[in-house]
Amino acid sequence: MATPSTQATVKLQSNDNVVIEVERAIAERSVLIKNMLEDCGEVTDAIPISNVNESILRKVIEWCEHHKNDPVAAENENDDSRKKTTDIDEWDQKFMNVDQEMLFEIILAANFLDIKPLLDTGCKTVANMIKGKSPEEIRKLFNIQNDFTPEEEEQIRRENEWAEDR
Amino acid sequence: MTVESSSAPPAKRIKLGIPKAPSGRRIIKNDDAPIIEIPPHPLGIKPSGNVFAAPYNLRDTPSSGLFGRLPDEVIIEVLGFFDVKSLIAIGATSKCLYAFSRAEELWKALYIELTNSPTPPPTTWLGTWRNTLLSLPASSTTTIQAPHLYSDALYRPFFCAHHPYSPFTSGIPKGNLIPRYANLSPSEFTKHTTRPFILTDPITSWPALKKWTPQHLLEKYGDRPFIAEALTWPFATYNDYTLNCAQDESPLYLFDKTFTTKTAMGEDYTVPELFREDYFTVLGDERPDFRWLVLGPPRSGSTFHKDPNATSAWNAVVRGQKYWIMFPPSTPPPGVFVSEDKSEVTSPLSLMEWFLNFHAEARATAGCLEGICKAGEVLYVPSGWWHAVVNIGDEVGIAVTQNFVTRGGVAETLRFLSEEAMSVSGFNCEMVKDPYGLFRERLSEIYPEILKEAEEALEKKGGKWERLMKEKEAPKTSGGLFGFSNFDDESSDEENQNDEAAEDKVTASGKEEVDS
Repeated sequence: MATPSTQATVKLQSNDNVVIEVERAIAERSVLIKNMLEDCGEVTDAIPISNVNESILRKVIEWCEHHKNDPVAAENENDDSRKKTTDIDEWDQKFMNVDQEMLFEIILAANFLDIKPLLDTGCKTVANMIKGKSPEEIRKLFNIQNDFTPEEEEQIRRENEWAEDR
Repeated sequence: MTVESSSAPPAKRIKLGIPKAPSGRRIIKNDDAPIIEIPPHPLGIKPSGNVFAAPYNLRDTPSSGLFGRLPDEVIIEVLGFFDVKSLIAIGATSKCLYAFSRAEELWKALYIELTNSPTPPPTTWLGTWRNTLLSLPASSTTTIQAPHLYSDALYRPFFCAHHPYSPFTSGIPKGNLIPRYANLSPSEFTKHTTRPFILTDPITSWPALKKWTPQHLLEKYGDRPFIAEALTWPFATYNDYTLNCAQDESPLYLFDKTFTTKTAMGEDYTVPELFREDYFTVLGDERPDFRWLVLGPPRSGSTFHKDPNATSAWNAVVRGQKYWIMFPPSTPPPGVFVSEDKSEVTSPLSLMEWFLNFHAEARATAGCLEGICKAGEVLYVPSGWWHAVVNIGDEVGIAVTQNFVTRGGVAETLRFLSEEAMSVSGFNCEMVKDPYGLFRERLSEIYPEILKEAEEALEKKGGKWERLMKEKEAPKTSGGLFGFSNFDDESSDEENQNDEAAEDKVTASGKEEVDS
């Protein structure tokens, strides 16, 4: 185990080579970065965040800044309970009010950086967008190409009739 | 396969090395084991590795839309937040998302979630969680092919559900065999209390052996609710489930702690004489949960865990047979991670995943014991031993298990109740605020010499115990040293249910992973 580091800030480098300096406590909302700092002790070089570009990285940092004082969820929080509600607090709702491309990039970054509450918020946002929408509306929202044959579509329509009263 | 090298539990599911095959039936050939055939996936989904010989992967085409930006596991994670209607709707958008929306883990989680809602799901089992939740008969279910979809995340549960256990449960090396005896005398038992064994004689005269069949239980208790992991189902529903759950990666396992009060089954068995000495009896009605009816289809079982409160256990097989694999208290099995304070045991894998990834290594690990306990036999689990169990053969397994404290085990249970208070489980927390204090007090009233013997043994061991005892001698503060927030095991039952992370997670504290 490396000795605990006391450095106050860390540098993060996006995949388009922009270095952003962040308060350590904020960067440590990312479990990936937190573990890296714990393993390596002092890190003076910029940490390459190879999967994330500058604009997404800044967005993620903005979220971490706002949530830096949130209690850290228990490591083995009950997975079910977090899925039972798709409620999102007001600030997060505004934060997630971005186009679908960016929303998916945020989810991808949250997954890569291992920021569970941000990943959850992203997933909930997608779930809320889809609620009550028809397949055609969902296709438009997320650029999905319908590749069913007409016969297949008819089969699915008939199957789904069964489920309608639930 | 990749495994994180640190001692921390892996954050992600371990990648499964699924062998490639050109198409259709997947054939796996071990050196001398019989050939294993896995049928083709009903939707035509293939393992990720096959993509290298394919023109493209459906998930990388416009059929996935923006979802294609995410790794397969994250797509499933996002879909995990959808309600029933949304999941149906997204499944109607494209072939790729149709395939993702059919992942059974999503429907099982939804089913469990809805059981506590104002509109609980139907209890007529229709072969899959999706069909059951939607009241959709198998004959009306579509199976639209997803050609060129290569995804371990979707293929793995199917592969695990269809891979047999026989290659793992056969050919047990002689040195690993759990010893078998006809019976032991009490004095022999005191020499054997720290090693597992199987007894072939003591339960052969149980009426249960003749009486307990699924048919008998169905006739007598078909409408009575039984607890199977996070679900409480009428026995008739569970019985239907056991007959038609071949698609389930980790079949639901019935373990019910109130069977002696809601059925007459308690009359059909007696505690084997050897295991009657039980120091938790000093607690009377305040003892933690201690006996379970355990019932499950072939392939159901428990991932690695230790039994609650450092108790020992016996597990008597009434029907079917169980394969056991066990490790001594100080040897966590390969692929199992214990948190620093020992309160959490994490095995991120389903039972079959563990066997596919770690069984060979486990079998070669010093201390490993394995054995098959057949109907009419009883297995002894010493306090603190790691064990995983799976029902094998073709029959539904029925067993009864009881946890108890041997004379030699009193010290360890005292130590556990006080030092690992956060992991204490099974007590009625309304009634018992301080399990350690209560157990110690009752022992001092009824068996003072045994308490003395146990505390002397602990003093010899020294360490943390001594420090604790010193603190105890200091004037008592109200509320006490210990917290017991964690000993209501109902809440932890749910953890078993989430497929991705929690289903395979075992808390050392809970009896949710009941032996058998």
